[in-house]
Amino acid sequence: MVELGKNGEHGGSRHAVHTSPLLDQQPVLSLRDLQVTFRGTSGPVPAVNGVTLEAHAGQVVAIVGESGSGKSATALASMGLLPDSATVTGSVLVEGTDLNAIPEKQRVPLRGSSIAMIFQDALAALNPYRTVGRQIIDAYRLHHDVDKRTARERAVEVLDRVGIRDATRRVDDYPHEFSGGMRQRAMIAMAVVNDPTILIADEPTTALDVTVQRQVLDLLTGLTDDLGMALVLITHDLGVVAEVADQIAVMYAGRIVESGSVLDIFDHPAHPYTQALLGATPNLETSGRLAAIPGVPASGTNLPSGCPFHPRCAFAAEVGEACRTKRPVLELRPGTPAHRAACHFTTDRELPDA
Amino acid sequence: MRSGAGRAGAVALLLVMIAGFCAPLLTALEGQNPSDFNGDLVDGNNGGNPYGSFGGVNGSHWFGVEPGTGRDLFALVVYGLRTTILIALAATVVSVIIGTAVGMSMGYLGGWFETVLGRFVDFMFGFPTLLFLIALQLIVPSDIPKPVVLAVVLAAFGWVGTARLIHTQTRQLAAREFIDAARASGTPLRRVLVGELLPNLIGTLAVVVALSFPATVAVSAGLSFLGVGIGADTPDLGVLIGSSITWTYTGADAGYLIFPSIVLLLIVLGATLLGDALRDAFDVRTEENAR
Amino acid sequence: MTSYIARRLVVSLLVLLAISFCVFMLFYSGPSDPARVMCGKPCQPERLTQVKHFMGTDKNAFVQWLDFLKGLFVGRTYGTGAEAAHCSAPCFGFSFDQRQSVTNLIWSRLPVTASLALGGAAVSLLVGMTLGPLAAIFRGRWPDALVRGGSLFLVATPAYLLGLLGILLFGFQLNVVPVSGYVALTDSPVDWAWHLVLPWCVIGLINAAGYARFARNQMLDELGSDHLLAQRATGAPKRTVRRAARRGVWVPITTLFGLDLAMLLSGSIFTERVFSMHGIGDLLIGGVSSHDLGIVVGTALFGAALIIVGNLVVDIVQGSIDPRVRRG
Ligand SMILES: Nc1ncnc2c1ncn2[C@@H]1O[C@H](COP(=O)(O)OP(=O)(O)O)[C@@H](O)[C@H]1O
Ligand code: SF4
Ligand SMILES: [Mg+2]
Repeated sequence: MVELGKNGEHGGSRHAVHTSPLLDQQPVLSLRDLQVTFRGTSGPVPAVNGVTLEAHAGQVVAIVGESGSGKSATALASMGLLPDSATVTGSVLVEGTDLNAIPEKQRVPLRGSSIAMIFQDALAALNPYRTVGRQIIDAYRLHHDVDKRTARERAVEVLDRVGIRDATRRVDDYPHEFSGGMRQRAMIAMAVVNDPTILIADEPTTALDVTVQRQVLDLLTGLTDDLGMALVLITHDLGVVAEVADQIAVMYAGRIVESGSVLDIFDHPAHPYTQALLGATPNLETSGRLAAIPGVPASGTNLPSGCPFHPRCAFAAEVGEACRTKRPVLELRPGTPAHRAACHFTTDRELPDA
Repeated sequence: MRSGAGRAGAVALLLVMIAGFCAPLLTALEGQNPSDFNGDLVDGNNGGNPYGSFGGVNGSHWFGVEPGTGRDLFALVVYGLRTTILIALAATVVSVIIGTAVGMSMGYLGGWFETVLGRFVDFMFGFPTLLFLIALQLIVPSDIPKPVVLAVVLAAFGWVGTARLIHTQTRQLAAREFIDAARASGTPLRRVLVGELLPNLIGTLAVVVALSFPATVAVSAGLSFLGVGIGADTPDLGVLIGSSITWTYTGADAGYLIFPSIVLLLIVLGATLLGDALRDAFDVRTEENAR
Repeated sequence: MTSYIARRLVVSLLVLLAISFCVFMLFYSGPSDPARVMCGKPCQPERLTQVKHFMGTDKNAFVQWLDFLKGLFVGRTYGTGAEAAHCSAPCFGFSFDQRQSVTNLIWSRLPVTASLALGGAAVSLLVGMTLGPLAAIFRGRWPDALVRGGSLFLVATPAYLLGLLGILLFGFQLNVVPVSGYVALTDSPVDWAWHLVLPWCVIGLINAAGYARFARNQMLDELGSDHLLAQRATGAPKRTVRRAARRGVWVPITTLFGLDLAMLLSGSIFTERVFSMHGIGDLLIGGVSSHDLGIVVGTALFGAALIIVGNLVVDIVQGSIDPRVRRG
């Protein structure tokens, strides 16, 4: 068990610490050709369409994309928590074990201890009928054979670590007695109480106001450093990840259309969608949304031919027929260690500055 | 599959309703009427039980005869059906109108009006209505015809559920823009209510009618069953079922109980199936599936 | 919490006051003077005046209401001298027909109605809370279809029909359970329960239908809720999560239960009639047939009070099990 540090300051840029991903180690989480299909009332609904992704210990990997692009489905598939109406193919390697290949019974003990998750709406994600402490204690005792007193001490310790002031007293409060930001912290406490190797955070800041957003992000990155876990940070907002992510994967219509380091994505975007997202990115400080991307997002049931982005793409006309007929594949960009993009336009050139 | 059940319910309901409305025609066809006593068809030495099997069923008495009096049961059932349906129909129509008016005005006018009336409606919703329906029978003047009394008191207590539902729906609708737009363009309040809200509530109203009709039938027949509704001299399904209990206990043939019961069950089940299908079709959230 | 209870208590008392007021205005200012019924036929005018004075109906409805309220707290005496009849507090009125206080009458009938209603409530909660969540877990498959179909059938079926059909089938055809009569719990607990089996099932099943439907939908909401997903994400097995979901269904069920108290009471009125049991419903109906205004008003008000107190209890219980209910 990694000792939790005391509530510390975790501002500033992470890039100084993690200039290069820890490529020498095995990834703790590795998704390979992940596909998720829902059984809908009018036929199958493909939600994730061949996602391959790796996350290393101590690293923050961001998944960015508009709503409906399959981010949550990817997250839940990684947890093995999709409803029965979903079919999952491909593999989800958690510390070498393929979650998608083992029966539910064997997945249960891995959840919470190897791979944990937090959600967008903490009020909904916490049980309204139980105290915050009780929920953390229950979570802890699922993986640790300890008595209630020990578990309670641990709950107070974790609540304190996530920044709940007066944790000894607040541990007996109900979720509705917490403020929005505190609830988010309590939910994080519940997820990290068992020192998970991987933490998936599905839009953890979307429902919060800007200052609280910042605090929660700092908390998450702080925990990533302290616990040495891998953080998969899901957001529809590129601005959120600029200062915290090591690697970024951009999703569109259930696929990763571009991935790379933060510098790759922000300084040399190689997919028109990424560039459009950058243009639509609000600034963390000003929170003003700039330009929305015109057109309707593609979805599993309404998937355009060729490149799924072509009806909204400013470069499609220049490329011509290929965009409408041939699906571009995710390819490593020459001269980079890990910058990949799926676009006909940029296979042999750079995108002009927006 | 679910709409299949709804269709079956609609057919059953329709058949029974037609039978009720055509009571004189059907009994003429059978060659009987509900008021003739046939002492020769019942066995006075056997507590007045009808001769023959199934309570005396034969070609001229389709459902057999009433124990004791020997009246034709088929005639009693279809005439009783007519009474029950007419009372319930009148009560349902009136209560739905009241409920709609109350619910719409609450949702649309808002303010203290909505608060006060909302409290009252909430209170009435959990009120032991049946007790008061029974008690009221004591003080209504005896010169008013019983069916009218029954329809009026049923309506007086029956509008509450409708009001609640319509209130919720009106509030949702009123929150939508087009109502605001209609108001902004200077359309008078009454026109907005009737012209914009009502058409949008049609689906809900269909569900409400289809679901409150069987409930009203059950209560109306229930009061007569308890002996505090229609007088024993008027043919009514509830009266028939009520008086069948004694006969059932004395071991008479179950036919006297079963025929009116099945007909009553056909109305309430038919209407409920139909109402349930309509609810699914119009996606209306009624009390129990809303909370 | 205490001030919450106090506030609800005051509101309940005011509501009861209002109901009793309306009832007196309605029942005691109408044209049908209960004294006329008591006086018999033929009724000499001076005899009528006497009877009126004895019964207290010579005063106007408002004063009679005040008398009633006073009687509730300190009791009252009707008439004077040898004829005088005393009705001790809490006095719900007097039946001149039976020369008994309505309170005594109600008291003697209460065990029947209480046995019926409480047993029926237990059956309905048990059945509804077992089948509803089960249907949700098997959503779209045959157990779900069965529960939904069955509850639709039961929601529509009037209690008296179900009771009569039950008597026909289990009483006469199969001859397994007694079909009528009530045996006091104190006489023989076994006979008491044995005579109540069928009535309990009737009341229970009729009400269970609503609970099952409601519990099913509530359970579906719970099962699809983020907090159960989050619980599973901490490594809780499906069984543990389902248990939590069931607990989440109980809280809103108590609200429904409060609303259903009135239904439970009406269910027991019909059931009393079907199974020839002499409970409060039977008392009320008897009062209507014999034109006994004292009984009718007394039982109706008692019933209303019962429901209101029941709702108060439900509110308080809910306040203690749902932490989100405001404790002002
Ligand atoms: N339970 C479900 N049943 C059917 N379709 C679903 C379900 N959950 C998600 N989807 C579909 O899958 C696609 C991806 O959804 P999601 O992963 O929630 O997107 P995101 O999290 O990026 O907003 C959407 O088109 C959505 O409609
Ligand atoms: S492949 Fe064509 S349509 Fe797709 S992003 Fe590139 S240029 Fe645009
Ligand atoms: Mg999502």
